[in-house]
Amino acid sequence: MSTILKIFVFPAAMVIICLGVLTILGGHITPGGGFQGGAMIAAALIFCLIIYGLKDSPFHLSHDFLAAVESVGALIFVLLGIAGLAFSGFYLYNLGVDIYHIIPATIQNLFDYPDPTHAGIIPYLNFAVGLKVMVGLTAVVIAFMGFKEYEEESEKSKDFEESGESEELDEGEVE
Amino acid sequence: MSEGIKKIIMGFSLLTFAVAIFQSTYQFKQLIYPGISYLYNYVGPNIAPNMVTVVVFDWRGYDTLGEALILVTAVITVLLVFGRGKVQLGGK
Amino acid sequence: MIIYIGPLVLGLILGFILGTRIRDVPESGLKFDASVYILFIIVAFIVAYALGPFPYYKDTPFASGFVAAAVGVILGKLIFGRSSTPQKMED
Repeated sequence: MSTILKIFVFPAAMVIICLGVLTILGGHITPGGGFQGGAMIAAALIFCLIIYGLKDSPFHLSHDFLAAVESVGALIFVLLGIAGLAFSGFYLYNLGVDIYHIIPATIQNLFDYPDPTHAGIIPYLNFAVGLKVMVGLTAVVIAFMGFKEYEEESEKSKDFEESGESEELDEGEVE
Repeated sequence: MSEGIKKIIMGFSLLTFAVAIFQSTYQFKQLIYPGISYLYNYVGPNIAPNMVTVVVFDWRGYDTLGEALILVTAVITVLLVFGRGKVQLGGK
Repeated sequence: MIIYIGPLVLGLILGFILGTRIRDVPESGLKFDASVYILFIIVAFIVAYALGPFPYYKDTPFASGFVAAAVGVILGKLIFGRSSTPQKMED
């Protein structure tokens, strides 16, 4: 890849990451939300991976990090549902906006989102889904890129063995 | 397990499943609310301005949980099939 | 005038998680100095002022989530960033 691309990509990827975070945060006001913002952040990370290659990318994502972040995202979603089940009788009950008026006011103020709209737990669910999607899509691309390198290495070693045998035959014929 | 016990278990589970399906589809037309819900159309805009996000994450939040778990399953499957030699899977 | 801390805190956390994974690669010939990050902060403020705040927000004249994410990335790099390539891929 040429030098102009390598100079341009890293700041551009950071701006796209910040745009993706803005899309996740405004899920309850503007179009967007967790899935769409997570895909934008994954696009920025994949951009860096394609231009710089798997080993030189400035965003170094190891296997432990990808597994941990994806698990944390799924766990936050499930645990928010269980919190709704514990304090009221319903799973994934919106504890910030209490439409049946069955929980005390302290818990409602605890789970409310500090915002002019007072949307309850919806922005936290968007955050959890955003984490999951961005890490999941990047992990798939890294697995495919690593697979291609593994295939090229095994092909190179096979070609080396075949060329070694043909060289021995050529020398035998010349002699 | 012998053949007779397998047939008995299969017959019993088929009977349970058939009773459940027929009992839920009998008089199905009276059970459906058209559209989202007459009540939730009044309550929804008071929660957040974006009605689509409110329906997806608050009224149908359980379906979004299933969607998120589908993404986890897809990533795990791809890493298992295409990750030989590059991903530490444990064991030998 | 109240500053709403919801978007600020969530934006900081998301930027911080991504900022901890930035590392320098000394052997590929390209170095990203401090000047790149200072230019990135200035561009982030300009873009946030051009985007404008969210529809019902009245606290700041720029997009607060965007600036919080940019500050979070820089903070993550400063606190936890690595300055050399690790030995193997599983670091």
